[in-house]
Amino acid sequence: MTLIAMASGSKVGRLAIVALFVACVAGSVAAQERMLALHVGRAWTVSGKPIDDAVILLENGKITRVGSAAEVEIPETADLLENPTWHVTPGFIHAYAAAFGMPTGDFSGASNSADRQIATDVKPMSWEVITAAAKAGFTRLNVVSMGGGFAGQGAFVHPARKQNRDPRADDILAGSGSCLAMGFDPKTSSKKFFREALGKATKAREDAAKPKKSTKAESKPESSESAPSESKGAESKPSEAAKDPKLSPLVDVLEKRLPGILGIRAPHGLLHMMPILKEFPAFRPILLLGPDCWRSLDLVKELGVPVILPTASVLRADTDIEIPTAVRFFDAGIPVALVPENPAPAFTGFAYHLAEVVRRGVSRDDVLRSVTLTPAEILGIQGEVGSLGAGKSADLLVWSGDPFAPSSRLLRVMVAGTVVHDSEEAP
Amino acid sequence: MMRPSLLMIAGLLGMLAFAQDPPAPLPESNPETAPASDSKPASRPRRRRNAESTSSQAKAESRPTDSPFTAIVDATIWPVSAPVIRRGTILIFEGKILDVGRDIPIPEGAKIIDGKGKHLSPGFIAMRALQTFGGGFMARGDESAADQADPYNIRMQMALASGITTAMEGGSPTPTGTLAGFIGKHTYGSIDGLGIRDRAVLWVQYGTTEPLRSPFGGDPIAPAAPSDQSGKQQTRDLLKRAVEFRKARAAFVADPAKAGKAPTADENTMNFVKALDGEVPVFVRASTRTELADVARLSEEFNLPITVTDATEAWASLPDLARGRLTFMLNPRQRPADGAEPRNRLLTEPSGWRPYNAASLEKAGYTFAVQPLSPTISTDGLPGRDLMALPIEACYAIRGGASDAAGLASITLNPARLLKIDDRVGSLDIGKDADILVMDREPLDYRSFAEIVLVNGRVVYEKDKSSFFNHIPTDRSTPLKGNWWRDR
Repeated sequence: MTLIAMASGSKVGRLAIVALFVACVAGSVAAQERMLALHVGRAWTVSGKPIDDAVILLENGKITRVGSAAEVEIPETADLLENPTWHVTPGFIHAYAAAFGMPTGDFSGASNSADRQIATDVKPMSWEVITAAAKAGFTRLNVVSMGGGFAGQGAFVHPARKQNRDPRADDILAGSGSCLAMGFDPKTSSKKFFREALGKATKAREDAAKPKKSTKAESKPESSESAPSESKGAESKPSEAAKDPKLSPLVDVLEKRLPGILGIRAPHGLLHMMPILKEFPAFRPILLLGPDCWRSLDLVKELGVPVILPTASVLRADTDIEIPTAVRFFDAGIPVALVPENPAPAFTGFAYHLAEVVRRGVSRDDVLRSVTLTPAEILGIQGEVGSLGAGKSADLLVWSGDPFAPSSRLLRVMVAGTVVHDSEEAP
Repeated sequence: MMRPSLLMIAGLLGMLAFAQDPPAPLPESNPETAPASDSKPASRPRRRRNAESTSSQAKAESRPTDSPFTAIVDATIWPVSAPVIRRGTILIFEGKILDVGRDIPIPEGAKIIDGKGKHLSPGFIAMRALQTFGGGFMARGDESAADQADPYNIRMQMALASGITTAMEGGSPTPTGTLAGFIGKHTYGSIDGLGIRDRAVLWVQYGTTEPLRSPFGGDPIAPAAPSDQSGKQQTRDLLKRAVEFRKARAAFVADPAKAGKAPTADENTMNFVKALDGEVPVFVRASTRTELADVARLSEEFNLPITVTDATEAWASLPDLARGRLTFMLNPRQRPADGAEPRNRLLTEPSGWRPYNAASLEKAGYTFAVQPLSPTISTDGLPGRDLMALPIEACYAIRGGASDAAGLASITLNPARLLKIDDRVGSLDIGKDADILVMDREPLDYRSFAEIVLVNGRVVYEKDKSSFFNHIPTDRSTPLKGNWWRDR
C-alpha cells in the first residue's frame, strides 16, 4: 500500500490505483455478503440526533445498525473504514428534477398527459450526466416533466456506477409513478381546465365511494412505510376512473395514493389557484414554488401543504434588500424540500447553496432534513431512504468534515452500498 | 491524512489494520453545530423582524381591531363631486364609503386612521396604462383578463405610490371598431375586487390617412388606412346597420307578433349597437382641426357619444365641436408627434399646441380627462412624462387656465365618467368604492405624496413601508433620511 501511495503522484501510480479499483468493484458483487463498517466522527441520522464517534454497519446494500462507537461493536468479519474527521449523511433526494431528457420549459398552457409515465422516456444521457448528479450528493431523484396542466407521472432515478459501455435506462431507474407532475401559469393556463378536470375526478371519486362502502376505509393512505408507487392496489380504484387513464392518476392524487406536485412559479399564480383549491378541499398538492413566492407564505400556511423550493434568495423589487425565501418558509414551520435552482442536471455547488441557507439562519439539521427526510416523506419513500437507520437503504454520503463547511469535500457517494462517486477516482 | 481511495481499497480488501494519521479534532462546538434536540422545523424560534420605522407620517392602523368599520378622521376631504370638507370624516364599511362629512358618528371599535393635517382625494384613474396588471395579457374566451393579473408586480406598486388606483390597459382602434381594454383596480397583493370590466371600450379609427400614432407620440402603432374615405365608409356603414338594428329591435319589443323574427346582427354591428345604447364608450382619435370636425359630424349624424383622444387643436375647433356629443381625453402639453409634418399649417405654426387647450374645452362646457405623454410607469427614463407624474400633468391644464376643480376632476371623476365606471369610482361619495388617497398636502400640490392608499377599503400602499418615496420626509424642512437607501 505504501508503495502505491508513494507512486500515486505519477501517472503510472494513478493508473495502478484505478486498475485496482476496477478489480475491487468487480469483486464487490461477491463481497456484498461481507459487512462494511464505517467508523466516523459524526453520523447525521436526520431521523434522530446526530451521533458523534459513530459506527454505521452496512450489509447487502442496507444499513443494519447505526450508533455510537461505545454502543455498537464492530464485528471481526466486517471491512472497516474509519476516520475520525469524516461525517456521514443520508444521500440527498431531489424532489423535482426535470433532468435526464425531460423538458425543462415552464408551466405555460394546460394539457392533460396525466397517463404519461415518464419512466418510459427517461434518457440516461451519458455517464457524465449521471455522475454529475452523484457528485452533487443526490442518491435519489424524482424525475419529472415540466409543463402546464397535468404533465405526467414522474420516475425515481438513482445514480449508478460507471461501466465500460453506454448507460442504459435500467441502470438508473428506481421506480415509476413517483408523483403526478402538474403546472399552472395564470397567464396561459386556463382555470377552467383545472376546474373541469378536478370536477370530473371528484365525481369519479364520489361515484366509486357510493356502491362500495368498504372502499372508504381503505382510502386513508397514511401507511408511512409503503411507497405510493407500490400501493397502486387495483381493487380500490374507481371503475369509471379506471376506464379513463387520464383521469385515474388525478383520482389517486385526490385519494392521496399518489403524491401530486403542482408547479407555480410566481406568487400571483397561487392567488389565482386559491379559489380552485378552496373549491376542491381534497386537492392539496405539494407546491413547487419559485424564489419570489415568499409572498405566498400565508396562503401556504393556510393550505397546510409542504413546499419544494430553490435555495435562491431574491432582492425586493427596486432595492438591494435580500429576501431569503426558503428561510421564511423554514421559520414558519412549513415542511420544505430544497432543490437546486436549475432543474436540469447542473447541480454543481448544491452543497454550497445549502450552506448559504445555513448561513442565513436555518439550522444545519433543518437544512439537511430538507434534502433528505422531508423529500422522502412527501414522496412517500421515507421507509426506504432519507435517513440513517437500521433497515434503510445504504444511500449515504461520506464527507471529509462538516457537510456545510466550505472546506469539506464530498468523498464518497453510495447507493444501496455501491460506491457511485469517489472523489479520488473522479477527475 | 489518509487518502480516501486507499482507505476504500483497504476496506474492500479486508485489511483491517493499517497506519493512521493522528485524528484531527472535530470542529469546535457552537450553537449551530450542536445537535438539535428536535429536527422538526417547527421547533425553531421566529427570528427578529425589522424594527418598526419611526416617522411623522400617517399610520394606517393605530390599533388592531376586528371591527368591519374603518374611519379616516379629522382630514381635509376633496370629494371632487362636492366642495372641500375641512376636518371631515370618511367612514368605510365592506370596501365602500358608508358616510362622508363632518360630525359623523364612528362605530365602537372602528379602525381609525388619523387624518389630521392630511388631505383625502379619490384614487387617481389612468385611462391608458401599460402593464400595471402584469402586462401582456388580455381577456381569453370567457375568462377575464383579471384571471391573469399579477397584483404583486412592481408597476402596480409604482402606480399606487403615484396615487393611481384604477387603470385601463389595452385596446387599439380600427375602422370597424375593436371592443377591447381591461379596466381594473390596483388591489395590490390580492385578486379580490381587481377586475371592473373586460372589453371596456369600442376603439374606432375614423378618417386618418396617416399611420396611426399613439396619442402619446412615438412610433406609429398601426399602418395607414387604405384610403381616408374607405375607412370612414366602413365605420359609417356599421353605424347605419346598428341604427337599423336598433329600429328593428324597438319594433320587435313593441309588437313581437307583428315584427316576426327577432333582429340579428354581426359582431361588429352589435359593438356599435352597444355604443349607441350607451353601454360602452367609443374612443376615436382626432388631433387636427379637420379630424376633429369629422368626428364631431359623425357624432352628430348618429347621435353617438364619442370620447376624442389627442384633440391637440381643440382650442381652435370649438365651433365645429359644438355639433357633436363629445368628451375629451388629452394631454395638456401634447404637440403633434415628433417629426410629423404639421397637418394644418395655417393653424399649427409652429406646432399646433396651445397651453390653454384644456382650459378652452372647460370654458366651452366639455368634460375632459388628462393623460400623461406616456402610458408607461417607471422610475427611470424621462421624468415627468409617464404615469408617475399624473397629478403634475393635471397641473399643466390648470397652468393653461383650467380651474383647480377641473384639474382634479380630470384625473378622478372625469376619467371615471368617460370609462362609464363613475358608479364605482372617481369621487368620495356615499356608496362608491373606498379608493382613497391620504396625502400629505393638497392633491395637486407638486410636493404632494400619497402616504396611505386604500383600494376597496383595504390599505394597499404605505409610503413609509414602500421603497419608492419613503426617504422623502413629510416635513421638507428636515433633510432626507441619512443613509436612506439602507434605512428603508
